[in-house]
Amino acid sequence: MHNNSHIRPSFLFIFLIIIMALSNPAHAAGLSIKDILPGKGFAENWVIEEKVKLYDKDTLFDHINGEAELYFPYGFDAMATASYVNKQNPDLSIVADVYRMASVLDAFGIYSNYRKTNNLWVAIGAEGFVSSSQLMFYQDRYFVRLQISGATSLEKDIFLACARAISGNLPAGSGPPKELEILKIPALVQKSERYLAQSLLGYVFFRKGIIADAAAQDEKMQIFVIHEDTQAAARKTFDQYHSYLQAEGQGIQMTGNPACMQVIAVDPLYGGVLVEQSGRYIIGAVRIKNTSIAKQLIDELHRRISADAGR
Amino acid sequence: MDRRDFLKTTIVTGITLAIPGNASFLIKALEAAEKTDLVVAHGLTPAGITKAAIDGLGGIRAFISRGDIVVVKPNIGWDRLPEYAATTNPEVVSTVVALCYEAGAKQVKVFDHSVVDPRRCYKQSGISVAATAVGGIVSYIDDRKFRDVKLSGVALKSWPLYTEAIEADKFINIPIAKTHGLSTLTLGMKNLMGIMGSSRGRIHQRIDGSLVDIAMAIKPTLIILDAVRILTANGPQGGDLSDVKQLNIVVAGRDQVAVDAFGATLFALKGATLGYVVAGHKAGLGTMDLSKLRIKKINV
Repeated sequence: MHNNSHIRPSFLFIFLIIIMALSNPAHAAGLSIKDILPGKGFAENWVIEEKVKLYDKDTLFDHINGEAELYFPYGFDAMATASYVNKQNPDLSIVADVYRMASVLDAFGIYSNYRKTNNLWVAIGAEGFVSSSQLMFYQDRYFVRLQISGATSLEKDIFLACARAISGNLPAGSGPPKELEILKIPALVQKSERYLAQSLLGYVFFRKGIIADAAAQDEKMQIFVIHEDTQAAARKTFDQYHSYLQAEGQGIQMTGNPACMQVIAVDPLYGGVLVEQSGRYIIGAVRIKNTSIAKQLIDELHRRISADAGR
Repeated sequence: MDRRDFLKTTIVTGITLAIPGNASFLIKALEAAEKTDLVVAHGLTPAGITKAAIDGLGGIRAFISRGDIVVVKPNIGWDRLPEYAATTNPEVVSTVVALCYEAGAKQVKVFDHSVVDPRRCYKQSGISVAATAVGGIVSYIDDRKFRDVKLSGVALKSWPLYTEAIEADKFINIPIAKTHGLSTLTLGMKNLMGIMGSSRGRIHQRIDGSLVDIAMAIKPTLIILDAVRILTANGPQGGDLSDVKQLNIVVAGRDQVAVDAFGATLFALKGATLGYVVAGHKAGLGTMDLSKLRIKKINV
């Protein structure tokens, strides 16, 4: 006779894991993007029209021709869309789009292309906003866009009901991307950060990075951070910008050592700039008028990078 | 009085005396003969400024003849109400359709290759109802009606184009002015993508050259740029009223490059910043140098 005393707890454990996964599809391996959108409706009077449609990299143009290119640098992988029609007014519907991107930073990146600092924020996903005609949020590596069709306004609570139904089917995620932490200095204009997955400031050598508005002592400027994989890569990027400034810029002042270089100059597109390479990072401020204020902000960014590296 | 005004006055006076009652028509014809390149009409009603813009080019009869089969090509690409400025203003479209019939057009067809569900796009844009009300023949794109057309262009050697568009006697392009994720702005030349078949996304890889190739093949009789409302951000689909700016402007012209170059200025840009405008200018499709154009501005 076998002794099953060790086997039973193992079976029980596996059984519990399966039940947990099934009860929350977001945690199940191989989550299908199709299943993220409510299959029938999200509220009593809002029912799905036809069925969920799926798009990939080759077909996204068919759904958002002209906007699809915006999504590709952020590692767009798949998209699901459905319309939810109001039973009492069939002309009124909500179009719900869910985009799966490469990472939470990429989901934030595409989301940040749409948000404005004066949006009305809503507690949904890692962050979300609502207007009279739209609600957008991101959660984990998913970006969700809800759009009213057939009207120019809709009650916020209806948007939120739809958003919550979708959010519940997504992986919980761990909030905003950690990469945003470096820019969180007192001068940062809240909710102004944008992650650009290619050509930050329009310069191809700044392959990708985060940019935000900053305000200090009545001075407004933009601050940015680029995270390279290695110190050598960061130095190469810095050198490319320096070369560009030498060719196109003015008033170039270069200081520093191999581990930390700094340049102050007048960029032809952005006016006064202060850019520093520090380890694997490039940090900078553009559109500056008062260099000493910009230096204070760069020092604060520098300290946050050092603190981050020390963690 | 300059030479042009002297000639105009002399001819109009002479002909008016000789053929009483025809002065109005002749003045219009003469204005057209003056080769106004662009007319920019500003005013309160979309219908009023659309008509004024066309009249500034000599009137609809300068473009449409009795018995013509006309295609009017607005932007009906998105499931949006007119307030969102993602689709052409329906009143601008219906005014053009009505004017074409006034000029004796036999049929005026209205269609676009919508990006999303055409049923919703045609309805929400208001274009289906507005154009139908004035006799426009509004139809959805029928995939069987695309025909491979040899283009021999820089970027495109051939492409399936919509038969009804290429076989029409006259083709009037009526885009709306708005931002675009890839081409910065979508104006007249970009609106021609609505008669393209196959996977239109493929042309985005060489969009500037491709648009010029298509524009070379189609060459609209008239371009009416709807800037009653413009979409200043998050185009082409928009969806947020805060991105919309009311300008109450309609621009009319024959030169596709010139119309688009002027359209750029509505967004505080220069035509030279748009790749397809530059490419069109270089290819001889038209001129982007606004200083060399005769631009007539009309307040209605």
